[in-house]
Amino acid sequence: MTDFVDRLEQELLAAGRRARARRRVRAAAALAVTALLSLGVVGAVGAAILSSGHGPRPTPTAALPQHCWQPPRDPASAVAPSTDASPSTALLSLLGVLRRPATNGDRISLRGLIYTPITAVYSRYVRVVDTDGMRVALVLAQVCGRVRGSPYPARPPASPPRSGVRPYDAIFLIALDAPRPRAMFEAATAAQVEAGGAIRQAWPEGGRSLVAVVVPDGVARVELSFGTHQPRLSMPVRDNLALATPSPGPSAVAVTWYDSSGRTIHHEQLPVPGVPCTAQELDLSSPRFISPMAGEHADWFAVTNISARNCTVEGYPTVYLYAGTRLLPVSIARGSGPYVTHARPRPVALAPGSSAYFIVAKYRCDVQTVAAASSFAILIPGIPGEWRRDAVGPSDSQVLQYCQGPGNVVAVSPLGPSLRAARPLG
Amino acid sequence: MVDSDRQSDAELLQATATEVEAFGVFYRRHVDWVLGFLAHRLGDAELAADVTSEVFAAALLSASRYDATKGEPGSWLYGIACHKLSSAVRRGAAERRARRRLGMGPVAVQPNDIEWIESLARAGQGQVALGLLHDLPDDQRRVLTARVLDEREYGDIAAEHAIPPSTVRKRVSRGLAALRAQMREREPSE
Repeated sequence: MTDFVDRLEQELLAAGRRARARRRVRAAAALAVTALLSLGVVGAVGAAILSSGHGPRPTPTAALPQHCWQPPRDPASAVAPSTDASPSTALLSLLGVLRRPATNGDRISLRGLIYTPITAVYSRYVRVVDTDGMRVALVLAQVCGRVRGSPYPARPPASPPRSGVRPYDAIFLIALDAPRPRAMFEAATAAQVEAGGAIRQAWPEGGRSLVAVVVPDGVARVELSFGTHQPRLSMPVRDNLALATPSPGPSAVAVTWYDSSGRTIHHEQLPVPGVPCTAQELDLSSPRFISPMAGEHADWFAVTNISARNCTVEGYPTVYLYAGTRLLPVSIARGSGPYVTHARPRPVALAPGSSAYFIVAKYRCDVQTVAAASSFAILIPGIPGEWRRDAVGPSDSQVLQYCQGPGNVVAVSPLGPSLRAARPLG
Repeated sequence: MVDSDRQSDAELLQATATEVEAFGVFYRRHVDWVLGFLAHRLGDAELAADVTSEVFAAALLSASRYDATKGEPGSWLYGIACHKLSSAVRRGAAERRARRRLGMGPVAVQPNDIEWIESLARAGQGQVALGLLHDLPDDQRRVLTARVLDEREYGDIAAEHAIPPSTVRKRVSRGLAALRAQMREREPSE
């Protein structure tokens, strides 16, 4: 990397900021004209004070529209919707600053909080952090889900959303000491905090660069890197937040966490959040056939988190085999036999989109097949209800065969973080 | 005003309209291969740097119009780079239209920059392939990366992905064909 690369980035970002400022001026001028023409609209300005007795309390938001889209709001009259509800337990389990009781110092005006993707501000989870003389409000809000890969849809979707498009919780930061309009930006989602990937960088008024990193409990210091040959930036953490105001420059590309003893913390070392997945948050794949190695038939399944939050699964799935409508009287052996791992079940934390795996395996019928399984009923521990999945086929060698006598034992592995973990040597 | 190292390229371009810092991350991800590609084709590091400035200025200007249905961000940027390359070859100099619209000043190129850009040029088309690799479907990108970049055995990759080695070979072959097609499609005629 060279100076040229850095200088060009600075030129591009500065030019982009100037262009955005020009667009804002044009938009404000257009809005002013609209407001003058629409008498009465402006009267609602100032109503956006939340949660603290400093002003009228906004009505808690209604249930979110299914597709999670809302029209852009008029900055002059909008009041951010709020809710008394609690955010995801996963987020609370990561961030002590949100678990501590609110104090008078956390009572702030959130006037003008009109960020379109926010569908509801968690009014009980606003916290003010004072670090190095800089006051920053952490505002927890529910944000519209992602649609078709775009973070925030600009217009209502024409068709119903795909499954898995959900609102999610995110932390917003407001630099309270910055001149108005206050700099506010989305800092992190729960999944980003856990993964250690959220570095946010903003340029409030005055040409200072504000860099913020939201980190989970246990992180005492973070170090940002800005690319090869660039000096690193060390930032102490207070109340789960690291802040610095360097001169504007290249964007940070990586962050390293340290504990209070100076040891590096990897995000894999974080405690599993321990929030069990619900039925609505999971999807089960169809069985996939594994080539037999020693006469067994084995299928593997993936349990995928289709929600927007982290959750956990643990234990042995319960498996029933059916031949048509007939339940086959096989014995289920959990974690035994030569085909699945003997390791004890451990919690598997599932980030949004990630999967846990398990294997169902049985030795083939050497003499006579009485029936062949045509479908599975699968239950995941802690999840009410069952999933029905057709067996792999149509080849006889790719279905679980039931035969009389010994050997009618079906081995089931525990849920594991990878397919390899579900196999004998996993 | 957001920047993230975990957002996809498409998300970064989408966010650029309101959060210009997102474009900084997109720029960092792609600047090396754009510089290397242009320097390789132009044979002039200084001109390549000038054209690169124009390429990213044009990308910044049109980020809000990026349409994911018409191609992946890497291919989109490659298209802009090829267009600006053609223009530079014709004119013998880089265009300045996008930079003028943005009010950007010149970015000086120092001797150590020249050395760096020339080293990127020596990587040439390989850099482009790396950039375009991100545009392949997940299943192809993973096996192609494992096979070509990490030089792992087919059997090893097959075991990891729980698929037959023949499927790995097919995906590698399809991935390479897709890369070649993307590069041919976008290549300017000089």
